[in-house]
Amino acid sequence: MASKWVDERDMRFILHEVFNIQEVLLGKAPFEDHDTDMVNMVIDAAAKFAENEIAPTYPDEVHRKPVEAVFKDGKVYAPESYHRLWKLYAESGWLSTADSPEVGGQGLPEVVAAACANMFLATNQAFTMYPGLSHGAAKLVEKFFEHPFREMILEKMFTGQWAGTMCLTEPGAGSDVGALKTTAKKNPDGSYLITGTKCFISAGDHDLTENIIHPVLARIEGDPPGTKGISIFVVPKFSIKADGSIGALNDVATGNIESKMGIHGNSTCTLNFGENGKCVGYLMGQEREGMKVMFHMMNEERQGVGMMGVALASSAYRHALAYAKDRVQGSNIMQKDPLVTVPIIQHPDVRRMLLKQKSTVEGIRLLCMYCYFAMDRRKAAVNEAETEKWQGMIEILTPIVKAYCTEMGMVVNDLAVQTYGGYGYCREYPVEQMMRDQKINAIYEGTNAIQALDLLGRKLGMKKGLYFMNLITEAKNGLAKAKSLGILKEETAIVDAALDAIVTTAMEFAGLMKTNPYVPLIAASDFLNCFGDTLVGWYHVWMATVASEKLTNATGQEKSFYEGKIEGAKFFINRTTALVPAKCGILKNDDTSAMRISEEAFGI
Amino acid sequence: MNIIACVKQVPDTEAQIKVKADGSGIEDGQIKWVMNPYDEFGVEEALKLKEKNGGDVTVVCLGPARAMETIRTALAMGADKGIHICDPAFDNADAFVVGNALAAAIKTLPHDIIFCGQRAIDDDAGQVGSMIAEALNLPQLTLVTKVDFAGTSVKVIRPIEGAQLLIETSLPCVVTAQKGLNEPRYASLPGIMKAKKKPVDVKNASALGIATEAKAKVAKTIPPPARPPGKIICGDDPALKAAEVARLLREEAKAI
Repeated sequence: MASKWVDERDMRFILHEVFNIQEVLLGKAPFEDHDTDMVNMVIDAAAKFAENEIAPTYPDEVHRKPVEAVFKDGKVYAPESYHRLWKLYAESGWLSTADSPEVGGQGLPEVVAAACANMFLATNQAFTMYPGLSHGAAKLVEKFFEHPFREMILEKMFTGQWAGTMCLTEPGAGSDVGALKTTAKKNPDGSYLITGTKCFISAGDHDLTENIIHPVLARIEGDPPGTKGISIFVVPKFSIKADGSIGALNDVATGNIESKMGIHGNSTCTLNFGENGKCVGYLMGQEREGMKVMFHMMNEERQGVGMMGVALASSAYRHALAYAKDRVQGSNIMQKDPLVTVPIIQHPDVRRMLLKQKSTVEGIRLLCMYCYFAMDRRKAAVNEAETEKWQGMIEILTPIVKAYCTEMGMVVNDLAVQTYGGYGYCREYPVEQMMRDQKINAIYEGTNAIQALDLLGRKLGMKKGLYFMNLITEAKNGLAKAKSLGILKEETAIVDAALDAIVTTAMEFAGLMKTNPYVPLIAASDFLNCFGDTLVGWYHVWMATVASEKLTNATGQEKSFYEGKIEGAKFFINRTTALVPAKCGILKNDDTSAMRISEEAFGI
Repeated sequence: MNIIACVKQVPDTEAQIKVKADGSGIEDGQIKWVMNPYDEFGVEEALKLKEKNGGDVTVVCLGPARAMETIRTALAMGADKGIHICDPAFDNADAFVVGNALAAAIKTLPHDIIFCGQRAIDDDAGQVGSMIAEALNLPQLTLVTKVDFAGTSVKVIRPIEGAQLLIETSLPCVVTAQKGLNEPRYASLPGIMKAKKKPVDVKNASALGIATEAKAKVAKTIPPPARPPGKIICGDDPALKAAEVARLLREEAKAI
């Protein structure tokens, strides 16, 4: 096996064989300067960087000493090893892989950047979040900031001299952003004085860069309550002087950093803005458009978190697979010779765990990558209808990518630990840390429950259900191709039935929202996961279709690779997608026990 | 300053190598190919010299069509142009032929210093650098871990058992790179984009006007013997098991 950390072959499979980017994207506007050789060099460089440089920094404990972000005397220090990584990451240009050449980027397709991100995240999520958030913040500045500092800030951020964050959450305003208390007061020169406290700010403060740009949500004095009255501001950690040089601390103070279950290398900060009434911020976009602006970053981060879910699952699976091939324990159940012990990969239940991990990882990876592919299709669209079609695809996929990939990612991380047995529970092996790191992905960037409500309450009904039906149609078209080629006949029928169940359930839920809303509200998370199980079923049919065609001429490792795709598809569809119609049936039942039960009856 | 870096494309050290059934070589269809790591040190040193003293870096590579990837990698790292010597006539080339071919290509270019890896990790021959130096009648500094350029001459360090040699020679010369010389940089994204537009001159044997007949031929490629299966000693009594291990180490493995 090539690497325990990254799966370069699967990346090439998705990009070239499944999406066929050479035909669909490369050489066409806006990707006219890019070709397959370049893409392969980029993927190769990313895999090398991830494996050789990032992976060695992964352990959050070395010789029983923690490797973590540290808060000391009011300052935050990132782990020592991250400094070199940050420098290499920025110098190599990874901060602007898919960004416009106007900001110094390479303008590569989003799917290519996503493939690279997958490998970086698979080797150290806590580190990769620093540049990830920085990129998201820089995109906001690029799109919405119209201040004389704009060009200077963009250059600093895309070259990694400055970093960025995302400041939404407050002690009293988490999932309920509208309850925020941070205020902004307009100064005579057009800037604002910001006052308030933000918490759970990932990469909120550190010593990797000379300055940090905080996009901060706040309410301008006198503006209405709720999300409608929120504006967004660029707040630098250190003041920016008129000539662009760095001045004194901009009255932004770190109160503390959290001690967390995982991602120890990332500083999760409480930030106090304007304790001395001197914190200056600059409006981004228009007044009271803060949520609209911030959603650009939130969507990017939500898709990114989905990728985190995939990445940690992928590296955990590859570790578990290598271990199962190596660990000798017990005898082969069919050979019944207790004296001949075998690697545990020969045991049926270990194989079940491994194939569940493999098929889940590869399925959610394609789901996640498809969302980035949709962004490229939108960029490459030649008319408005096409633009809207792919934009709609992104809208509906984003909550599913975020929630389903992290939910199923955790299932894989759990099985990876289980594959190791007792050793998996010990810090000696990295799957223990991977499982701890994975948990945050289901929580931050809008909990998975928030994603389920977004899907049910907003996304399904967008354009009267057109976007939803577009996605279903894409899936049905994919199945039709497999059917015409006679590939995976039974499995294709199973996915078809699951798609129908999703459509029927979505329509019934739309009605129930008006008559008996508790039924769909209790079911929202389960429904999202059923949708995910179904989409991944389609993606497996897609992969198996490609693999069947390629298998004819394949030999050696390549043959094994394609055979693995087909067996994985059968396993996932028969054991997971097949349950969707039954689960949907249950979700539609008028079972509101979760609401009927009194609070006292939950436990006395 | 005109700097040459010679590179070879070799199988990735992680690649699973399969010997062809007839022993005529290895199955090369599904292997991942990379730049020979020792050549990478040479490319890095060439780039460092250029950054310090100006000039340009030309990468020269002999290999089949796929070797273009390795040239592009060197260009992505920062080299300026490439020469790809590509001809089926070189399929069974030995170090003599390769050295002469590279030298013939280098001869047509201005050259102040020529870097090679001290050997390639695939055939471990370690002769090409010396062959180039001989063919061009240049001084050769082999197994180098430090290079100091001083205008018209160069001083290098070669570690030897318990000591180091400081060697000086005039330019032009051939330097073969040893591990420890430097830490090769990663190809940056802007570098990868630019690499596509940098010129690579493809030459065949007749263009170089050299003989392609190898002086040494690989008669057969033989895979290493398969590892014999391990032996597990069962039993409940640790003392008896230890005694059995000791006996096997003495009588079968002859290790003690």
